[in-house]
Amino acid sequence: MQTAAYYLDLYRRLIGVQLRSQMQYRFSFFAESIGTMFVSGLDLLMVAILMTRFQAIGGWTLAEVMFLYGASSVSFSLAEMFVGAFDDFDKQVVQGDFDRILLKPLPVVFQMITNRFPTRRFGRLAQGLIALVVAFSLLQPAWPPAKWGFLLVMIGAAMLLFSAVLILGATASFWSPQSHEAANIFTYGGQFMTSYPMHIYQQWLVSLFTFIIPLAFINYYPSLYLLDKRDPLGLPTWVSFLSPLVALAAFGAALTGWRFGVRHYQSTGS
Amino acid sequence: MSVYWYLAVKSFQKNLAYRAANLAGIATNTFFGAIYILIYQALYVGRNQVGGLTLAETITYAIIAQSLLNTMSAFGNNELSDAVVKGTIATDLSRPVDFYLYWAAIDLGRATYYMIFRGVPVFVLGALFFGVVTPSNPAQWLLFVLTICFGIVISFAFRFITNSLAFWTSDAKGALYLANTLILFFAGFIVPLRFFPPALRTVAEVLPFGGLAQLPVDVYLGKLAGAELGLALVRQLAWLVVLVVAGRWVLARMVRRVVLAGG
Repeated sequence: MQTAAYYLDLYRRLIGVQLRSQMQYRFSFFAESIGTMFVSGLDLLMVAILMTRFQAIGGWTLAEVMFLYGASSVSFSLAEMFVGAFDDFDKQVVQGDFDRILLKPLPVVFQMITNRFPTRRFGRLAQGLIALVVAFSLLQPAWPPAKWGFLLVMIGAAMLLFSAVLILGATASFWSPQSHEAANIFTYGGQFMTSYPMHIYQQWLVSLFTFIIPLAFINYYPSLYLLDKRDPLGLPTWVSFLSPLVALAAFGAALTGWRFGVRHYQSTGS
Repeated sequence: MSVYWYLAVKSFQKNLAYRAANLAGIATNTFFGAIYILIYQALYVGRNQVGGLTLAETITYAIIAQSLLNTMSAFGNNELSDAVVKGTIATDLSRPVDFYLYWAAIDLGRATYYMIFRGVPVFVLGALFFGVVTPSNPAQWLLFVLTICFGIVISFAFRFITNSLAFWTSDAKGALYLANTLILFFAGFIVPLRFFPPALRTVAEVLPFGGLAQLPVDVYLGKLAGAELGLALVRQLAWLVVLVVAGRWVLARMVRRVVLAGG
């Protein structure tokens, strides 16, 4: 068993290799980052267009929805950078690339998170940050330091939650690599639906995304506290603070599921 | 049987093989459609009509838009540029067929597959879950299908041109990304063009992409009539011709300068 310092150092070095190799294609790096910024910026544009047309959704204003969107987008892009290799895991199974990982003497998950670092996700991060800046300039929040601290906790927890969803989506590829598109329901779909206040969805969907796949903890419940909103469903205020715990539990569950998948992996033999 | 017809049929059949992937795709499109609809339902509270659309019409819009996403390759399709970068294009170029029609046949076969096996199920599921407005006039159905077919060709002709960038630079991924963004947004796949602010709407009306989603839905909902309808159809057809001619021109030029990296 190696120490944490050993893995940290190795992580830094392997990610460094990834960055250096991608910087060989400097034009592509910038063009793809800008391209990603625009593609993911479409959802931001959607929020802006719809909210200026309609003024409010479920009692939330443009600025508040912009805040939800920015928080969700920033944490999703961080998750994609952290566990991005899981996002196209179906291809690694089909092409047999995963076999190579199994042969190397390092933990599988560690190799997965270091064998790819999708730098073009910086584009998504950038437009998410733009949304947050717009939201803050409209909201002019006079928050105590505790709230700013909690904002960071919320983003960290949301990143873990999205990572868990990405890992679970990849796990499904062990059995059915073709069905990977359905995983988009919870990854990209999750990011999409968490861009709007959760209570506008039907009760069963809210329950599903609170208790089964806890995406409501990504930004909605924490934002009730940050933006001083009341939950129309009448949940107590302390629910806002559960998100780090829920995130850790979800991440642990995802890793357990993943290990179960690895044990049942059968190579395509190509 | 013409070789292009044969190619289109083969391309259609190739897609038939991915059953599980298509089922997953149907689930995904339906889910996204449902989220759009729930958002619209919340937005419309206390309003009857926005941008000339009622809630029922906007719901119909969202369902049709999701049904058409894959048919129109709204997320892009880089098969051609990939073939150029990999060098497999060399074999394609040496075939005794018209290179443009060769790719057109493959793409139209794919689009037809998606229209039938993705578009129809997503539309039917959406109609079952949320209900859709249905045209009262059979001519609307006919025009709906016709504008979709034109839209498919416009989508192909546009992507052929952008994919051809790969003949000049193997570093074209970013530019293709941007081009795909244009399609998604200005076709009206994300938000109906009717909700756009006026200035943006004007830009969108000039571009060819409205023919991929906004126009078929407008025709379906019977939002256009008389001269307005005629003008919209003529504009779509004109874009189709312009893009095809431009694509063939680009092809004629790039074939002369292509250098293949021994695939």
